[in-house]
Amino acid sequence: MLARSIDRLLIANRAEIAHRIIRSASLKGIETVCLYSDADAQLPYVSAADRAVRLCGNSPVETYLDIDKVIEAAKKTNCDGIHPGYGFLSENAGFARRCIENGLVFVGPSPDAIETMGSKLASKELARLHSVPTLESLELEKSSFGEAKSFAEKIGYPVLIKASAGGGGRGMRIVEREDELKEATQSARREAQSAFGDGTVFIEKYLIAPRHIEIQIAADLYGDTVHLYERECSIQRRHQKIIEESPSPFLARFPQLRDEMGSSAIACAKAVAYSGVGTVEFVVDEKGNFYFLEMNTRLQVEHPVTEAVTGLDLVEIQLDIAQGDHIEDIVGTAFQHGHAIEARLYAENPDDNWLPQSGKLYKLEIPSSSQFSSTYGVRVDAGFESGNEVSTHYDSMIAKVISQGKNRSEATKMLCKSLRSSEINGLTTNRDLLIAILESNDFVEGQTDTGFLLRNTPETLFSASKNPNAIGICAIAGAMARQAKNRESAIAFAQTRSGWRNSYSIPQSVDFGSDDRVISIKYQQMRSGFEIVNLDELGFSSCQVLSCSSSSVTLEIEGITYRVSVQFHENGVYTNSTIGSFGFVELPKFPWLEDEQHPGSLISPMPGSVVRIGVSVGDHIEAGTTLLVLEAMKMEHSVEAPISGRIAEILVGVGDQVEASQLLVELEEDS
Amino acid sequence: MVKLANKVNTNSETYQANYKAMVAMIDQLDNELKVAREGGGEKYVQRHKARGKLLARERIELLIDADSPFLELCPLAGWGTSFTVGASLIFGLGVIENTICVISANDPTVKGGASNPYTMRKAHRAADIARENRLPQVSLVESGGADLPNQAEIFIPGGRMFRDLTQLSAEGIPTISLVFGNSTAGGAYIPGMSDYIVMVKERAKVFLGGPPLVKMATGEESDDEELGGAEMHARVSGLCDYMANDELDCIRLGRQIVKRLNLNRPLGWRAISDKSARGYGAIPVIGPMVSRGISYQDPIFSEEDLLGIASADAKIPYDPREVLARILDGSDFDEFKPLYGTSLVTGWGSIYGYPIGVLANHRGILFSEEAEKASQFIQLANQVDTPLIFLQNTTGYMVGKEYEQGGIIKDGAKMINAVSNSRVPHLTINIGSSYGAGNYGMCGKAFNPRFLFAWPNAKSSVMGSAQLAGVLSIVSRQAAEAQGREFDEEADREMKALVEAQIESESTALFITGRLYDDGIIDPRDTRTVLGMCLEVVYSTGISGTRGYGVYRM
Repeated sequence: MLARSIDRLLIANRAEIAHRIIRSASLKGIETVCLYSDADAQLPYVSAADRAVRLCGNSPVETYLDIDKVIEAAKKTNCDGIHPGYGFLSENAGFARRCIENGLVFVGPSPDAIETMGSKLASKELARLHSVPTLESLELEKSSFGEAKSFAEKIGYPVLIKASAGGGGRGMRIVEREDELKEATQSARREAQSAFGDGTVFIEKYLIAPRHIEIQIAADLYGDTVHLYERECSIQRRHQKIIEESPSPFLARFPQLRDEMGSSAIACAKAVAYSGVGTVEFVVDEKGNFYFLEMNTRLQVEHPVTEAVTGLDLVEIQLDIAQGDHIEDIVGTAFQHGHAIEARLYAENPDDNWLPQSGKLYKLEIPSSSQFSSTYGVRVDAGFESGNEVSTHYDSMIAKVISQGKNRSEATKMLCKSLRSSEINGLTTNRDLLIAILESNDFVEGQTDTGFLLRNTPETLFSASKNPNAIGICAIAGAMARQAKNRESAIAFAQTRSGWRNSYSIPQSVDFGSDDRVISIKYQQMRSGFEIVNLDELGFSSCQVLSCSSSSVTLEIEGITYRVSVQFHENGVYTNSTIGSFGFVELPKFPWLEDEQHPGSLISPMPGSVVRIGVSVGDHIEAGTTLLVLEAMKMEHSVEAPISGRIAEILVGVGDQVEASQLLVELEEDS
Repeated sequence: MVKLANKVNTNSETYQANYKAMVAMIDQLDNELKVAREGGGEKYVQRHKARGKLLARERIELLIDADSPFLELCPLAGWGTSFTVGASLIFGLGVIENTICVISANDPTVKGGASNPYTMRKAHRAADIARENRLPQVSLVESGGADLPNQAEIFIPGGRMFRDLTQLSAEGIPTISLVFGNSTAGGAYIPGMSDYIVMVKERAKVFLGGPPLVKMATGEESDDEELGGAEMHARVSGLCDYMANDELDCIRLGRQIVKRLNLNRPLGWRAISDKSARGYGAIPVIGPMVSRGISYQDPIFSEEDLLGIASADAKIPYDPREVLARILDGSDFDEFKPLYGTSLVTGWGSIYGYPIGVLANHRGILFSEEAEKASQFIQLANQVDTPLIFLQNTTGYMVGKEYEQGGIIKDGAKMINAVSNSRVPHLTINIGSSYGAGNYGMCGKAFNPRFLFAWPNAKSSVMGSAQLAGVLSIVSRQAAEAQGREFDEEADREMKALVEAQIESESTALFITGRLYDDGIIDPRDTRTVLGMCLEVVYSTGISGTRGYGVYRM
C-alpha cells in the first residue's frame, strides 16, 4: 500500500464525528470538505469545514451511504483523502476499495482487513486460529430452523441471535426460551437486511451480565502494532453503549488481564495485517475469562476516553498512519493517566422504553473545560448547537460528554456536575438517567456489567437519585418566570403590579403538563411579594420568591435557596437548575374541543416510517395485538391495540412517513 | 425638579394612632369587599356551580390577560341599602388582548342576576366610563332582567342602558355581549344593541317572551330553544354572530373579537379617536407608550406611610405634600404659587410618566386667595392639555363677615366655574373630608371627574355632623325665642345626638360609595397604582383643554 500526503480530506460522515475530524485535520493544516444531507444543512460541522458538499435527500441510503455520491463529491472538490468516521461507510470494504481505485487515501485499514473483520463468523474463526479465546457459534441458514433449535439446546438458553454484518446492537436478539427463537431469528434477519443489506445471522451462547471491555490498537503501514489500553463499555441499553470509561474498574481486580487482552488484540490486528486505529472487543465473564467478540476497523464513538487517559489524538494518529508515519514516532510509549468517563447524551425517553425523540433543540449548553486539554477537565463533543433540529433520519445522539479526573470518583463527580449544569431545552434526553447511573451504588462500586440497566431500571435509578421536590420547585419557578414574561410583554397597564386587584378574589393560575401529570400553580402577588396559594398541594411548607424575571427565578423554599433558569418556546417552558431540569407544556386555558381524541384512536408515538401493517379494516383483534410497525432512528417500534375491538379505519400505508401524534388507526371498541 | 422632603415621624403618637385607625378601617373595607365577592352566598354559588357554570368573577378572570391587573369599580354599590352589596353586577377596567376595556358581568347568584335600582346605576356608570374614555365595552350577560318588585325604580330610567349601547357604537366604541344564560324580555336588548354577540350553545336564552307568555299571548306552543337558543339565533334569526360550544369557548371568542378590534397597537396611536377633540382618524396619543417608553422613578418614600399620614380625626388637617411624596414619580413636585393661598397646594408632577397638575387642600379651608389660585391653575392645565388630580380634604369656603365682604362667593364661583368648564380629564380622590361647596370646587361627583375614589377615612356631607346638628339647634332655639316658648334643653341634646349620628353615618366613605357617589373606596397604599391606571385610560383618548380667553391672572 502506497502512502502519500493528504492535503484535502473529505469527511464521509456527519454531525459530532465529522466535527471532531475537522478539528484534528485543521490543526494539522489539512483542508476539510464535509458532506451534508438536506436535514443536516444547519448543523455546526457544515460551517466548520472549509468546504461542504450537499447530498440531496435525507435517508442514509440516498446520502451518506451512497458510495457514488460520496466518491463524486471527493473528486469534484479535489480531495486526496477520505475519512469515513464511524457508522455509515466506515466498515464497508467496497467503499474503501472504490476510494483506492479513485486515487484517494482511505483513512482506515485495507479493504481486505475490513472484509475479514466485517464478518462476525469469519473474524471469530480467524481469532480462534490465532489462539484468541472465542464463544462457540453457528451461522443460521434461512431454511433450517431445526438447526438453530438443536444448537441452542446444546449450548443452553439464553442464546443470542446476531447479525453477521451488524454493529451497534442492530439485528441482535436475546432469546430466553425456545418458543421465542423463531420470531427473534426472523426479526433479527429483517433488521440486518434493512440496516446492512445482509441478512446473515448467527447464534451463540449469551453470557448473562458479562463485561464488555475493548482494547484500542494502532498499527502502521509497516506492521508495527501497539495497544492503547482498554475501555470498559458495559453499561448499555438496547445493546448500545451509553457510558464508557478507562481504565476498566473490572481490570483493577484482574490486572494481569490487561496484558493478556492487549496481546490478543494485537494478535487479531496482525492476523489481518491491520493498519490504522481499531478496536478489538471482548466479553469478559465474572471469573475473568475473556472471549473475542469482534473487531471494529474504525474509530469508535468512545475514542475520547482513550484520548483523555493517554493524552493522544486518535484522529491525528489515523491521519499520520495513513500518510505513512511510523507508529513509534507518533505514539511513542503510551501511559494511562488518571481516569476518564464518557457519557452519551441521547435525545430519547428512558421512561418510555428509550423511545428516540426528535425535534428542535432550543438550547444546548454543556459546561466544559477548554477542549483537548491534557490536564483534568470536561470535554464536550457535540453534533448540535442551540437552535438545531434533531431529525428522525439518523441516530439521536446529541453529544458526548467526557470527564477526566485524578481518579474514578473524581471523574464521576466532574461528569455529573457538568451534566447537571447543562441546559438542554426542547427535547427529552437521557441526561437525568446518565446522572442517576453515575451516582448509583453499582456504578460507584464498579459493578458495571452489561446487566446494569436490567438490574437498575430507569425507574429504580430515578427513585434513588431524583429530588422528589425538584419538579415542584421548577414548576413554581416556571410559573413565576411566565408571569414576568407576561408583564414584560404587556402593553396596557404595563406599569401595574402583576395581577393587581383592588378586590382579590380568584388567584392567578397556570397548568403545566409534564409527561402524564398536570401541575397547577396558583399564585397572587400581594404587597409583601408573591404568594403561592396552593403550596400545600405542591408539598411545601414555605416559599418566597426572592427574584424573578422571564429568564431566571430565585426561590427560597423551606429555607433553601434555588436558582432556576427558564426558557420559553411556543407553549414549552424549560427549566434548568442544579436539582434537576424539567420541560413543561403550558396547557391552554381554552382547549379546542376538536383536539380531544376518540378513545379508540391510535396515534403514532414518534415520527418515523411505516414498515408493516399487520391488520386490515374490519378485523376483530384482541388488546395487545400488534397493529403496525414503525421504524425510526433505525429502531422498530410496534404499535399495539390498547383495547379489543374492530379495526374501523387505517389511515396510513406501508412506506408512509408519519409525524409524532399522527392518527394511525381507528379502533371500534367491543361493546 | 423639586424633591419633596419627608417630615413624617413614624414613631410619633399621632402617626401610630392614625395608622391603627386606618388599618381598622381597611379591615372593615376588606370585609365588605369579601361580602360583595360572595355574591348571593354559598347556597346560590354552589347551585350555580352544580349547573356546570362559571361564576361571574371566574368568567372575568378568564377573559382578561393572564397576570394583568383589574380595577373593579363601584364594588360596594348598594351598601347600606336593602339590596345585596355589589348590586348583582361586577364591573371594572380590565385588559383583554392588550386592550383596556370596560368589562361588566351579571352575577347570577344574586336573584338570578336581576337588576335593581343600584344595578341600573352601576350599569349607567359603566357606560359613562366607556364613553368618556372611549373604551370598548364587554358585557358578560346572564340576568333575569328587571327585579320586578322594584320595577317602578328601574323601568323608566332603565331604557338608558340600551340607548347607551347604541350610542357608544355610533361614537365608534365597540360593544360586545357574551351571553352565558338568560337574557330575556327587556334584557334581550343588551345583546340586541351590541356590535358583537356570542352565545353559549344550549345555555343562552335570548327572547322577548318565554314559552308561558307566548302561550298566553297567542296560544302558540314553543320551547326555550326555539324561542331564543344560541343554535336558533346563530342559524335562523342571525342575532348571534358566534355560537360557542361552552362557556370557555365563549370567553375565547370574546378575546378573539377584542383582538380583532385592532386597538392594541403598541405604536402609540389608537384607531378609536375622540371626534369632538381631534377629528376622526388615527391620532397620536401617548397613552400606552408612556409607561413603556418613558422611564420614571418610583417615589422615594414608602406608600405604607400613607396609613399613618392620613388623619384618623377628620377635624385635623394634614400636609398633602406628604401624600404627594408617596405617589408622584421620584417624589418630584414643582409647586405653583407656593407663597400665595397656602391652604391649597397646586403644582406639577407625574405618575408613571404621565404628566399631571395637582390641587390639594392643605389646611381645609378655602379662602378667596385659594379659590383664585385654583382658578388660575386650572386654566394653566387646560392651556397645556394636562390632566388634573384633586386631593380633597376640605371643610369648604370660609364664612364670616370679613370673608363675605371680601367676596368669597365671587371667588368661589370663579373656582367652580373653572372646574366646571375645564376640559382636561379630572381625577378626584377624597383623602379626608369633602364638605360643603368645597366638594364642588374640588371637583366632587356632580362635576363629573373621569374617576373619583375615596380613602376609607373619607367623609362627605354638606357640613360636619357636629356643625350640622349645632346649626339645627341654634335655628330651633331662635324659633323658640321668636315664639316666646321655653326651649327644651333636654330634647335639644337628644335631637343633636340623633342628628349628629345620622349625618355621621351618612357621610362615611361606605355610605357614599354604596350610593354610587364615587367609583370605589381604595386602600391609600393603592393610590399611585389606581391613579396610574386611570391616567393611562384618560391619556389614551387624547386630551384637549378649554380654549377661548387667555389665562386670567388672579
